[in-house]
Amino acid sequence: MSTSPADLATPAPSTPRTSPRRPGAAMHTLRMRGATVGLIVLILLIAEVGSRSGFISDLIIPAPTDVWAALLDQWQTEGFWGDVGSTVTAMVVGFVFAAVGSFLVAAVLILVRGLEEITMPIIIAIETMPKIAIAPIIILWLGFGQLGKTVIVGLVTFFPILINTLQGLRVTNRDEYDLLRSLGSSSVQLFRYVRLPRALPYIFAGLRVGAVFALIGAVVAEFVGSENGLGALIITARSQFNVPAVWALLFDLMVMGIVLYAITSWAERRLLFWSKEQAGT
Amino acid sequence: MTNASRSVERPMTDAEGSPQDGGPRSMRLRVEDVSKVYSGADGVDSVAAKGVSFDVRDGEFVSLVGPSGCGKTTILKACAGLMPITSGRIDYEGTGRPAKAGTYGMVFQTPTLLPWWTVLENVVLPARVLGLDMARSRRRAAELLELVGLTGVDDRYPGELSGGMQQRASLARALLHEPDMVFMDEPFGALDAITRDTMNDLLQTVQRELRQTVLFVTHSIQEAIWLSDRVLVMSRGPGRVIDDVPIDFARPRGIALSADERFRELELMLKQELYTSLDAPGLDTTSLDATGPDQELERS
Ligand SMILES: Nc1ncnc2c1ncn2[C@@H]1O[C@H](COP(=O)(O)OP(=O)(O)O)[C@@H](O)[C@H]1O
Ligand SMILES: [Mg+2]
Repeated sequence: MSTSPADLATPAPSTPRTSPRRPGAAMHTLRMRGATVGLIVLILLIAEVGSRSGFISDLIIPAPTDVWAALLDQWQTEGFWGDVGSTVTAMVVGFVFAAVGSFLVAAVLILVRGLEEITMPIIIAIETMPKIAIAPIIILWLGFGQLGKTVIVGLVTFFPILINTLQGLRVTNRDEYDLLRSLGSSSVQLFRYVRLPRALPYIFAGLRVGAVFALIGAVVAEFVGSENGLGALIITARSQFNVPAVWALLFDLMVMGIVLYAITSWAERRLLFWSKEQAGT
Repeated sequence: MTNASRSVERPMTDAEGSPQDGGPRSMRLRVEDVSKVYSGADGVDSVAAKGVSFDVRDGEFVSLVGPSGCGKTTILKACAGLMPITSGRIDYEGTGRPAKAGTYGMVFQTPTLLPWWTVLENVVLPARVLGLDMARSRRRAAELLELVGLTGVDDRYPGELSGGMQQRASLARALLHEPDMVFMDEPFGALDAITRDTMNDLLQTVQRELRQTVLFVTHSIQEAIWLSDRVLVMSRGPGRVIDDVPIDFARPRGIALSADERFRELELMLKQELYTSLDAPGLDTTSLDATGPDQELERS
């Protein structure tokens, strides 16, 4: 069909407009990562020398090689993977329930006129409360099993995700709203087509905070009292003055935290490819 | 209400009579003595429009020009039913109300494409919201994208397109559901001068094909004359319509028209009307003759 002759302003459609990376950028990143690894090795080396020479008590910082040995030892101990499973399950199930729950609550608060304004002071009040301090009561109510832990994880992750989601759903873009209203869209359509996508960057920020909180929640719950889980193993190892084992367990927890963080970042990159504000590296 | 299978090409004889009289130039939109007062959060009211009256007839392209802040956007949104008015009456096709949501198209100053959807998905948004047949609407979207000169970018994301290309897509979207009328609020105001001329030319091409009824807001007098059948001049805020000028240049109108004697006379006349309401002695156009150096005035 006819295109105007004065069509100067249309670039050839095949030119990608995504900026090509500078040739030096990849090299730079590689060098920086190398430096990071070098720094880690240096710290481990200092710890090793300090500990072996007796300069640092190995009750405080054991030699990294001892921690490594403890780690390998644990991995072969019978029942260890059951404890890992117990902690991971509490963490993941609590996190997922909190994420889904806080999303549904946020959606209701936003879609029902006035409800958010009424409930916000209460939500903020609960958010400021150190929820982890309720852990002993929850354990008292629900016992030392899987349920208590899961509920604690859910509780500590629910509020940061909820508050971020609400903040995201409050983002308004006049023109986008007018566009949808000009088509006669329902509030559910407005929610699906504009508000939810606009809120996603905030929701993911909440999920990343929530992932960290989930791990803390699970371990603290196990500290307070639990039949199994990595937190319970830490308590046992400490009572036996097995410091390398304590450090080895901390390493396991760190790996779990990194994996959870990586999963949320990956999902974020997939869903928020269009957003300039996306975090996750 | 719409039939997505109808071809983009609409013959000129396809008269769009209104329910009452079926004439080719019957009343489409009537704005009577409309005023709008925004009550500010701090208790300070601001009057955005005061006694605005005009009308738009079927198939007409009407521009609303005025200095920025005079209430053009307010009036446009009120006509589209997106903004309640304080007093007066807006009557769309004898309904006694503003245009009904879903029956008109809207183009904003910013393209307002949703960045998480491809260009094609953005163009079919009206079909999604209105629950039209999606397969048909996608075909129509592809036709419209071709009409606005955007080919091969269906699967691109808006962020990969230039501002002009995005605005083309937004024009295609406004036309997707075969609206009865199109409202445009300074659609090319954010574009550079060359792209803007291109878009104005494109709009005329589209207009030849589709013969839409258009209410077009702009602060460019040249653009208004070039595109319109009629130009409404608004005074400085709180705005009123102070003149209603028919523009009868033959179509299609090319860029050369802006060098035409009558075009320049019209331009100067409209400027005089606009600028006398602005308190700026340097813009006193009464001392210039029509062929005077008006280039500088324009940039102010
Ligand atoms: N939501 C609003 N609340 C308060 N004042 C507003 C609002 N929108 C516009 N105004 C005021 O109303 C006047 C007209 O605005 P607008 O219709 O946007 O003018 P234009 O589109 O002609 O530039 C301006 O003075 C502006 O400050
Ligand atoms: Mg405006």
